[in-house]
Amino acid sequence: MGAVLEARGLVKAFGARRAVDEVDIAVEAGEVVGLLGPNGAGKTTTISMIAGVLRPDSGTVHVDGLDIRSGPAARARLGLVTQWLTLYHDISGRENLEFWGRMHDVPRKRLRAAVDRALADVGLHDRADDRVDTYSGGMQRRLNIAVALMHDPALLVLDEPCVGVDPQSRNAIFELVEARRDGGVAVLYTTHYMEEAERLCDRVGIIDAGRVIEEGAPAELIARLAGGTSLRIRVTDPAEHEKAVKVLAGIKGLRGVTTGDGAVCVRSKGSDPHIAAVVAELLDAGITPSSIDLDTPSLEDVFLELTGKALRD
Amino acid sequence: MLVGLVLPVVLTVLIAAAFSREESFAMRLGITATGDTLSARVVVPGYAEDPVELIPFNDRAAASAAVESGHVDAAVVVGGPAPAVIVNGYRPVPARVARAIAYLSAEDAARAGSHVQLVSAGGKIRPLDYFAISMTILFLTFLIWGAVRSFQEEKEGRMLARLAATPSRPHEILAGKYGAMFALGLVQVGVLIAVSGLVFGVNWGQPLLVAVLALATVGAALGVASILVTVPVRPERRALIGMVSMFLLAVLGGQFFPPEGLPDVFDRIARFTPNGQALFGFTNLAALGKASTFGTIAEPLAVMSAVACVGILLGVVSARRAFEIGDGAAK
Repeated sequence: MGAVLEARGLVKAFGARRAVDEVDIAVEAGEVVGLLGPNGAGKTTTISMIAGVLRPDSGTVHVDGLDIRSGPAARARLGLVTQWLTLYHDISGRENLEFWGRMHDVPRKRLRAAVDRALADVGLHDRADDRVDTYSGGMQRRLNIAVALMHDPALLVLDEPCVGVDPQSRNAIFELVEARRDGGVAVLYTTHYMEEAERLCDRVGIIDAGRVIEEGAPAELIARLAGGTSLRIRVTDPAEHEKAVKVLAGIKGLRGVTTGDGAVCVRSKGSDPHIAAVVAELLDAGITPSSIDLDTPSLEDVFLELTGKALRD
Repeated sequence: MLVGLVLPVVLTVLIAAAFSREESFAMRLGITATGDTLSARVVVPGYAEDPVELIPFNDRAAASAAVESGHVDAAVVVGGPAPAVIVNGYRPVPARVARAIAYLSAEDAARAGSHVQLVSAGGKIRPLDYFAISMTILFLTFLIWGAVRSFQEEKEGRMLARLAATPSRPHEILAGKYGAMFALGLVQVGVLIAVSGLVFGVNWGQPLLVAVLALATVGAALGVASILVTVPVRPERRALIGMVSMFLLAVLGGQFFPPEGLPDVFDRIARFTPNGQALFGFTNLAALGKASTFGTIAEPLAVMSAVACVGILLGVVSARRAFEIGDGAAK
């Protein structure tokens, strides 16, 4: 299946700073691709170029084979959900969707049906005629997403759509994205929340300082980059910590044995945590473990490993 | 609805009622010329029951003295490079009638006739007419200011950037936005003209010229608001600056105190304000009635069109950047 979105060699500089530097992204129909990065990494700039609202210094963006800057036909294939709300608060949700439907060239005779469907998709049918300023934050976020669904786009671009929403609304947004993906829509999704990416994304690209520094399926990235499972072992007699360290250091497949906070910590080199070997070796040495906690690595570990723990503004 | 239609109508009626002593509009108008002879064809508006009595004076000083003593309601000075109006205190209607006559007569004075000829033009202006015009202009500026400020908030809220991701092109979006604001202003002016004319019998003058002037007035209001909204301050301060500026323009433009009754400098300032030009144009049309020509509104049209072009161009240029978003562009 061909890529619905194909962005190649995107570059954008603001003054001397290269906000986006040779970024390539491809998303196929029925696929969700995540773009992850810290603040100021270039996610929104990349999305803006993909949406055709920011001219790249170099590089190309094609949606369904059409150059995004070639005209209305290409933009009509794209639905953009911005991280800020693009709603008129003094009119109703239905009126907002009618407005955006007209802006997306939805034919007049199909407009009402498109509005009703979008409202149903985001669970706002019963509040459709209320003013938007009476909506909760989560409802406004869902309506903001509905704006991008009005014209059944082939490519859905979501820029941090779950910022500030409650778990119920977030779950509703996840289900909506999954339903559209299952319907064959290509989805490009940016987020700060790694659990969102792990749940939704078939592939992720991690962007920092304007460059995509890693990409792949979440599980593959975790296996390749997060460095195995962590074990946190408590023993009945804390005086035996030093002895436990020596025992654990001798087990093949483990690395990085440390002590601290009343426990011995060790990481496995692969996905196998070697629990049986750990327990057996400790018991053989006369050390009785009182508890073993497993800390399975996550995409967040990968993210922090790649982008560092220093604060970003 | 409240600011656009109800308030202007209510205020017009209240203010007109407060000045109803001028309702009969029997006016004594002094006239003098700057040259040796009083040479002009003077077109005087008014119906038979509302006559304008024309009283010639030998020079400006005598005309001024007559105005100050109350012997005449106002005086016009014709024949010089620029016509002048003499009014004592707050007399908006005589002032406006005199001004309309003065400007029209100035054209004829240049042709050097030998005597004053009185021509009844069938025009009529009463306090109600004057304040209907004044309030229409005032509330048009408020309505347009609100619309332009709302548009500015859309720009700052990055709504334009989102709109740019739709099939619509930026120039289409801007045309739609400015077109809608323009239409809003025209509807307000149109409704106020219709309501004041049909319900209160307000005389606006020749319909075609009134329509042309209304277009220019709405354009000028849009231009002024577009200029004011680009002042680089915080939004809450911008609202204050805008309202103060609107009131200032209204005061300087003569919507509360006609500049003819103030020192000459105010009259000159009024002509540099779009409000003053709009009031000047509309009251001339009302006062002169059938005698109005395109020349009657040429100056207001020129000034207000220029303000409209400059302001809207500035607004469009400042909006261009609002169509772009990005980590760098947005901040």
